Amino acid sequence: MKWFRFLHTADLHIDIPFSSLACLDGTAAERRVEHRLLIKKMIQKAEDEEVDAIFISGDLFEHEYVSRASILFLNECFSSVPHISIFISPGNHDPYVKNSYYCSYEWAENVYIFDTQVRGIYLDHLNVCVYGVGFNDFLMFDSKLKGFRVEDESKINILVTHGDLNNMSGGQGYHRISSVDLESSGLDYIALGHIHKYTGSLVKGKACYPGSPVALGFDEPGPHGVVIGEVSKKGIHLEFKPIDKRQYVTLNIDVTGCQSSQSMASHILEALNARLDYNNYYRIVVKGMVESQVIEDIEVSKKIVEEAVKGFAVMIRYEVLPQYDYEDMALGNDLKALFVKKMLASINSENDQAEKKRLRKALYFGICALEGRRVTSL
Amino acid sequence: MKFQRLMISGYGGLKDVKLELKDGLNIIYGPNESGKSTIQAFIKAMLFSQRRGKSSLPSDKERFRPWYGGTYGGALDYELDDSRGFRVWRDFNTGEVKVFDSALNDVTDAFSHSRGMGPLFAEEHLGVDFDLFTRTCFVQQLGVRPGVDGGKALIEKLANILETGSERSSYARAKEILEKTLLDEVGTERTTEKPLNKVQESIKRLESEKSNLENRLRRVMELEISLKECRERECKLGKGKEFAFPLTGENQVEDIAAQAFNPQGLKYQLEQKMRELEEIDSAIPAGTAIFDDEVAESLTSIGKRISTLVRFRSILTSGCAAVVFAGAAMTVVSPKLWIAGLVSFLVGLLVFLYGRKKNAELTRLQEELSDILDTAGVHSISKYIEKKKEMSFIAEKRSLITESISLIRSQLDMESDRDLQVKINGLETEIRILTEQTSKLVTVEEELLLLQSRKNEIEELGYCIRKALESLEEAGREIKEGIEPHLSARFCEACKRLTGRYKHVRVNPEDSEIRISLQDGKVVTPPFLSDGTTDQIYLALRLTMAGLLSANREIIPLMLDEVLSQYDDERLEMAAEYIKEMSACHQVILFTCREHELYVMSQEIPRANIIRLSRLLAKEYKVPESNNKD
Repeated sequence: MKWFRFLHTADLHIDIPFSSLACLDGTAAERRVEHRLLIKKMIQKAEDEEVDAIFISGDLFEHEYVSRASILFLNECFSSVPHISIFISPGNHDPYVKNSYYCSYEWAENVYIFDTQVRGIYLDHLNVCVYGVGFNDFLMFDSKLKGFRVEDESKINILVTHGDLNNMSGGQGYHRISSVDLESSGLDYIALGHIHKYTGSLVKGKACYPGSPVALGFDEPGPHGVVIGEVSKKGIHLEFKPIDKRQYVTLNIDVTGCQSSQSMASHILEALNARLDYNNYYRIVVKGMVESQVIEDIEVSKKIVEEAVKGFAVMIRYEVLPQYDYEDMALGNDLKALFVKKMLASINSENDQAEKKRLRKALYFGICALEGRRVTSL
Repeated sequence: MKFQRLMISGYGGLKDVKLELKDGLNIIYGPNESGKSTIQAFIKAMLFSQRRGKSSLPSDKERFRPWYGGTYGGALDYELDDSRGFRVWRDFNTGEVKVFDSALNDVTDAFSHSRGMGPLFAEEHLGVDFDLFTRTCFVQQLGVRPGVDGGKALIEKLANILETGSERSSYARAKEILEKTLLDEVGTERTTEKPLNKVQESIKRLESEKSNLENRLRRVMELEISLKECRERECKLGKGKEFAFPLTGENQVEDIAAQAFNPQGLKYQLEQKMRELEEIDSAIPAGTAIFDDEVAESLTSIGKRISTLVRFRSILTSGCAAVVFAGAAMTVVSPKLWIAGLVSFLVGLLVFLYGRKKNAELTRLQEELSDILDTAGVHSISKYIEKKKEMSFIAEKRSLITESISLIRSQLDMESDRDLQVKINGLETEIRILTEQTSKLVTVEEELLLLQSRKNEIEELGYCIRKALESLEEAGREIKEGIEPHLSARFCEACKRLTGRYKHVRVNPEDSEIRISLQDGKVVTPPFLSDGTTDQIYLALRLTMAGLLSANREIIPLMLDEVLSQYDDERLEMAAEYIKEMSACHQVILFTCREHELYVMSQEIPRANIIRLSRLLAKEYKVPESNNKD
């Protein structure tokens, strides 16, 4: 029995702006270079795994930002493995539109780009038919797979597409695909794209989202990679293989009770001790209730920590609040008590957490001002 | 608090003066220029240090420099309500200040210090600052009115002190801090150099740059599409004749269309078609018009007419012979029938003549037919028709070839090989240049996102400060509204006591303006009343404020400087009575130059501590006599 081996990836978003790294000098540009090099690494992986095909299930690049150089680079990578068929199904970030590089560029002969109608490409020598359908616009909601049936069930039938399976993303539901349609389609594997985190097997083990091979921001923590799979009429094996050495890591450090900015800095550094890795990007959120003078003196703490983490890609957000006994402050009839009472009433009646947070800041600012101290922005 | 002792080593015209002050009412009596104002200035300076004053006026330091040289300063002993005693000592020359407790321990460092004012003991002990002290408890000569400017702040200060117990947490100050932070850390629509303005300006610049780059990127995409089309043409050009194939059959027009953008193939086809056209043209005899449908139709008609005429001629000839023969036979058989023979002869003659005419037509038609057939190169009509069919086929073929030639030529006219290459080179160059420029787009976007996030942070800070301000203003308003009735009730009482008639008075908390309701219902402001009454109403306000400031707090001494000078006898007595009541809880220091006032006050308050000053005329100043009746 012949197994058909493949590498499944999606959501590469080549040339996406790395906004979360923009505040670290030069890091975003460096990451962009790495992003490209990881494509090369992915192609090498495909060769090493001796796959027959690579499936790219949409959002290969950012239509709005992709540079010609990136397209040339991609095509060069693809043409370097002429024996591997590469199937691309355009997604909502790189739809198949007239002014897309999918239409205007002469891609390597082993690259098959699906347009906006479902069609199958037969690899007769492998007894495989690869179906696919791409986005025809940046917004495409309705499923193109309703009532879809494969043409020849004796072949290994695979679908490559970008879309939202059973509205997993919980968003607007781009290209809403129903697992019911897929289950009755006669497909042996469905290579999906759109969700940036590896999902494991879906649709009775016949589908998966491989996630983006490269983490694109702090909202995409954990390892990122590709899926190496093999499929036959007898079954399917899928394996997730990380390829991005870097991870976006968010660390929350609670500094509640710190009495001085120095002790807060020590607390932060202690929490970070041995947890920092030069490969990763860190967003450190310092939270907690501290003495008000710690906040007034927060620049000292920032300086100490910044010095200590020099060399690491670290962004630190301070979300500390003063350790006041607001209930106690609200007792009495003086101006401060009345102010605190009013602010607490607003905070307690607010349901929106972000607004609550803003009101807490307003409360702190008001107290600073009433106590005649300068307002330290949190 | 009460002042116990003033020890003036040197201050203005006063030198080595020692004044003992008592609880209750102290009357410092003396003529003009006896040093009453200097004593008041000394007390203020001892408590709050000397003020710089307005730039147009000499500073206190210059104004009160000792006339006779020597030490510039002195000491002030005071006692707090909790019986703790303090002495403050100042040297105004050096700016040195010392505060001692009752055991003469130096406690200067126990107080907060201000760079200009040194230790802030007075603020701490009195709970009010210089400004509030001078505008409520320190009622100076011709300075009874609290002052229009700052009136609102005065009420606010009063409200804050009463409610918070500390001038430091005043509403105005808190508001000022928040507003300053809003201005400095955020900015407004009217500012230009503040953080929000700067970030907005940068965003605007980057958005413009981004839009420019996006337009260029769109242009690149358009160029890419054109380039791809050109490359496809070029590819077919390169293959040339490989694509060329003989155009035969019915689909040759489609075949040509299929070979669009293959100029080499088309040229080859053109040559072929031209050759075919030549061959066809050479195969077609001259005068092909003879095979026109019109001629063919005429020929058919001629043929039919000839056949008809031939048949008619034969019938006519036979008939004519029969008639002549019948006539001759009848004449021969019976001479009596000669008329019938003659008729038969004549009929035969007529028929003969008619037949002759038709014969001429037949001959003409036969000649016409012969001409056509000769021109067509055939010998019979059937041959003509056969040949016509052949010629129609050739004409159709020629028409197709002509059409093909025209099509090929139009395709070839579209672009020459050289033009295509030039176009491709141009497109590539333009794409390369534009691509170099547009590669910045993603970094511009990153910078833009960073600035947007910065802008959001600044706006959030602004939002939070505004929220704090809103609540602060609301709380401040509520406090003021709560104090106003309290203040008004006391103020009404004070006015009634000082004027004997105006008891319906109100202070507007917004502008501190006083409104007096007259008996006839009319409402007026103080300037509409006499100067004396106006002074009395403002004094009532000050005393009310001082009373409020001292409620449940350190009781502040009242310094009244010539405040009764415009009072008539009746109101002077009323004022004396009221001041007597005030002096039961406040230490009151009344400065006056009028004997009558001294008399009325001392009559009203026999226990008053009277200090008499004499005019400062000579260098040597004597320590004044203390005339305490106790």
